[in-house]
Amino acid sequence: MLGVGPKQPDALLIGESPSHDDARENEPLAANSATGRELQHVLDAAGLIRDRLFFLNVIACVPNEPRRDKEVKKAMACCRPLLLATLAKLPPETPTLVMGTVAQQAIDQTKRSIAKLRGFIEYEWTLTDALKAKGK
Amino acid sequence: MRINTWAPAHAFFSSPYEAANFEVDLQRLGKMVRGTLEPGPSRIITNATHHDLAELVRLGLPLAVDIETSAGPGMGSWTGKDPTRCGLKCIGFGTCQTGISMMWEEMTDTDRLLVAEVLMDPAILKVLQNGPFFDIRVLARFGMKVVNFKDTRDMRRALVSTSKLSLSYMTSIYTDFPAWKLVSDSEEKIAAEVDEVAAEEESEDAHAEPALEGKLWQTNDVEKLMRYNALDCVATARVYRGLVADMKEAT
Repeated sequence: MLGVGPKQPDALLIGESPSHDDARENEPLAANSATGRELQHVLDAAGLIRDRLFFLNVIACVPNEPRRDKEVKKAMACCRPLLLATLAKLPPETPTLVMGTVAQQAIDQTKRSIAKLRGFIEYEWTLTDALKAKGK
Repeated sequence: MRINTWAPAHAFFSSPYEAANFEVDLQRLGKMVRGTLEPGPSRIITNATHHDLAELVRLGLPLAVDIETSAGPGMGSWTGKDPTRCGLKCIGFGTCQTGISMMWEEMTDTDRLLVAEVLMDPAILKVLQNGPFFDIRVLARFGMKVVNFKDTRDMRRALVSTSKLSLSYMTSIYTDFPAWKLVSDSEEKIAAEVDEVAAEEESEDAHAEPALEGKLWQTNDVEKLMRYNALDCVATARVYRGLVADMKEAT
């Protein structure tokens, strides 16, 4: 199971991999899992409705414990075609929340850490209008 | 349009500091969905003059102040971060909507006089980020005293004693700014530096200050530096606005 949600979601939430609870419910960040319950409170506070969100993991299977970097990378590579196919079906302008370093690295194919990127919206401001450069 | 945040399990169960940040990030996702993100600044002026500064002062708003420094003359590049030795490259002022930046070496006497007057004017509230430990000490070396100021680091520390205090962190909490410090010609270089320390920091202390802070003083692109300087001022002004609201709520 990689992703679940409507075809025209309000937003796309991308996480790492399913937990055992998620696998049982066949839903990423399942509402009945410990994380899912906590997440529900946060979604409520943010005015987001769970049924209108698309939940997606970059890895489809429950990883073995303890997790090893090599295995995670292998799983990311294995699931990538499915990930890209799922993303391609969603409207490209869907507001997206990327959760965690593994998800971010799988999407961007970079080694950047989420610690440095969290909290910032990735979009280009058009500074041209705001810029009144030299020669005034 | 997208936003990055922690893995939810990490935020909820591993790092109590990050649970609140996760909530902030979800709130911002909500704004993205509703189309209510605060737009960027309406004006950024580089190579500003005393006319631009006077116009900003006339608004009667708290004025964010920020400086960019260079290495001290004939000294190692690291002295650019030493308030007792660094040179002054540019000085910026800003409100939530407008940021201006002035190149110290190209400023006229009139420009410098007005800057000094504004900084010393007790009727104008200045807002700085790390002012007492850096900017104010540097400005004093250049003959300018800062009177009537507030410091965003001190305010945040008063609100959340364990909080990270860097401008980029507080900007991610209080504003809808994109990662403006990452968007530059030297992005790859900065990103590489960030990557080098990131894994180490994350494993050792996810609560540490971002290594990115203060990296831009090494750039030789003066126009870009002034733009960042002006954007830093707008960011500081918006962070201050958020801090004031939080402080009101807390009291």
